[in-house]
Amino acid sequence: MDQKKLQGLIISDFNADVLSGHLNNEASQPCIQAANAPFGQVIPILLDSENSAWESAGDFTVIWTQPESVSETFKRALQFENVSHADILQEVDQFAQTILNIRDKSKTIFIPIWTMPTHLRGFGLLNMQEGVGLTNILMKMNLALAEKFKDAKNIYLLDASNWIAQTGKRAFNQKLWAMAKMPFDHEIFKIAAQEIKTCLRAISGQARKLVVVDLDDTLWGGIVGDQGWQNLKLGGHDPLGESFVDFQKALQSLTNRGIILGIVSKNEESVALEAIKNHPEMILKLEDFAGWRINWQDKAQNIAELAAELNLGLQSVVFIDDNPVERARVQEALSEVLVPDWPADKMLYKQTLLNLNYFDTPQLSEEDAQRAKMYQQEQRRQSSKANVGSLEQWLETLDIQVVVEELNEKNLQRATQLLNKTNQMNLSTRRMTEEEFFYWAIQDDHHVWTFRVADKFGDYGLTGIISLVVEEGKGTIVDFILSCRVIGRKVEESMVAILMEYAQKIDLEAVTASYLPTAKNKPCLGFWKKSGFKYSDNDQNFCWIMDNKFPIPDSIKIIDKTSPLSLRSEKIIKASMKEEVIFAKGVKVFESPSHRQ
Amino acid sequence: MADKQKILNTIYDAIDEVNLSLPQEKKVVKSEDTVLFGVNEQIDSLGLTMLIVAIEQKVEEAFGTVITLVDGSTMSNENSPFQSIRALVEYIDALIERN
Repeated sequence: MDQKKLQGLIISDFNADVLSGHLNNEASQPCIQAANAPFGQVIPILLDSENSAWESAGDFTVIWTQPESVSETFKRALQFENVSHADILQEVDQFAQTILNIRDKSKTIFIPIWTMPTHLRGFGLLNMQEGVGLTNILMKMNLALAEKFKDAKNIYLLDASNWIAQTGKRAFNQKLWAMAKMPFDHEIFKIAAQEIKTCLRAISGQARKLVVVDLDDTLWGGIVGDQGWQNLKLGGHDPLGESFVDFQKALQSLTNRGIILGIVSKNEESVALEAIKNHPEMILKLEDFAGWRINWQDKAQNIAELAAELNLGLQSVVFIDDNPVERARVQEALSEVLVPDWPADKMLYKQTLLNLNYFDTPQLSEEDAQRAKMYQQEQRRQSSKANVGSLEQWLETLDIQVVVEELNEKNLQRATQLLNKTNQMNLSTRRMTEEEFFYWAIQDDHHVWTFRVADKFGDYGLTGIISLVVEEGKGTIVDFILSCRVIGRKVEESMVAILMEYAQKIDLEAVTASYLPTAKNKPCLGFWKKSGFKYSDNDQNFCWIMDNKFPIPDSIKIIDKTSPLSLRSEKIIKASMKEEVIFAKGVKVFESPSHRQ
Repeated sequence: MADKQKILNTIYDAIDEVNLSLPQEKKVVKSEDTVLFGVNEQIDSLGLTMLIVAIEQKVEEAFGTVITLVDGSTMSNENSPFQSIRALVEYIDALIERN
């Protein structure tokens, strides 16, 4: 785990020293060094991009205000004056614009939404009345912020109302306000710090992707091997049975967020699978699980094997088991696996699962939503492997198709996700925000291509990135990234071939690639060593002199769709001159003359 | 008379809570001799404020009685109960007794 401390700045209109204290002290990753700007100076600091406070804002900034300090009109509304809600929203808009103006001062900006003290009764039954109610206008103020920031990729509103709900009536403390200008109880800052760390993990691509569950007394009540599936506690008019159904529904809901499910259970596999297939109250079907290990082996070993089978690192895994001994064993053997404390009360399973804060992602892409389905397709794909002889023969049967596009506004989100999540097949392991990647890609002589892969079993989505920097007649491959879902299917070679085709067209003398080793990217070194590039062991550098053409794999159909939506005008012009280039089974079908630049 | 050990434990619970947000060098030591206010105080004003509020809350939870630790005299009196945690235990014991 990276021990580098993230630098953060807290700008607030109240004393928020306790927040920075919690951020700096809290043991969970990432490690943070947070500083507070002088409180009560929100607007002056936001308006002064040269203010020295910004020196601490490199990785993230928290802008936490009270609504009455941002909107003078709202402050008067709190005094029960008759004010215009339109005026309040105008002031909110100005505040939001001020934040937009400085958004490049920090990689990420967090803004806790506005809340009202729980002891503030306001207008009581008129609180939600249009044009009058304080709750009504406060909701609109928060929604106005959300609307204003909807296209600002590095600004996130944090749901502080949830922190208030968790803390209850202690959330606001007038005594702390009077004595220290802290409106909130200590607990609120503690929860806020945990939430900010969760968000930072999510942004850096550390979300968990695989939930592995036990079966007996976890997915259903009872021991299937002893009682038979007909006698399990699951569904029916029974609080325990209904709780297991609710838990299964909650697990199923996670798959819509791109989280995949697996089973590791000590059972006879045939007995357990029979229960899953036949029990009428089972919410989760066999096809909802990407894989399973149902046997009498050590669960830690089973989890490690299952994760490897699914091409996931252990840092992606959550393990849920009712048995504390099994949990302790897995935690001891596999420290990277998240093993949450699990309640003895089975009726609390659902809420415990839904309260886990390790699944958050900064965006939800189409690939996320389809991930569970993709793993099901992969199961069918691997089954088909058993029916053919060599790897080459099997690849031929898959009908793999690779679609090449330049990095553009439509694929930027997914490409950035891939850039930040991929560990194994990653040449340089650069981590960048969408904005950073965007600006890097539009620099002169920088080129970024993305690759979508599909085969006869389904669509893998955008799974590859390769980038090139051209300088003085030579090219340097900066990023070479491929999702582990498609490693070993000649997509790697296809990506390099596309880049080399371009290098040849612009008459480069040579193309090089420098491998930057990490704890996890050895598979990448393995590929490059076999790539045909000349390898220098001293600096782990690979070089191809352009005298020779880089071969395109026979088993891959390549479709070049470099798009007119490319990021800079120069590329737009180039792309508009370009016709679609298709290579079928390695044979170029069509190419426009303008493509030969 | 309330159990003084229970009061001391309640104060220590509050110290644990406040220490979560204090830098390592400013963490409050759980000792009856720790000085909270006055010469050689071992906690800054924000830390003391948080500690006072945390102790009041935890005393209410543990003893079911509402106490107020800060009034005109406690922060200025030479015999301030915040001179040491030992003195604070005695003071809280008296407040609980009075209630």
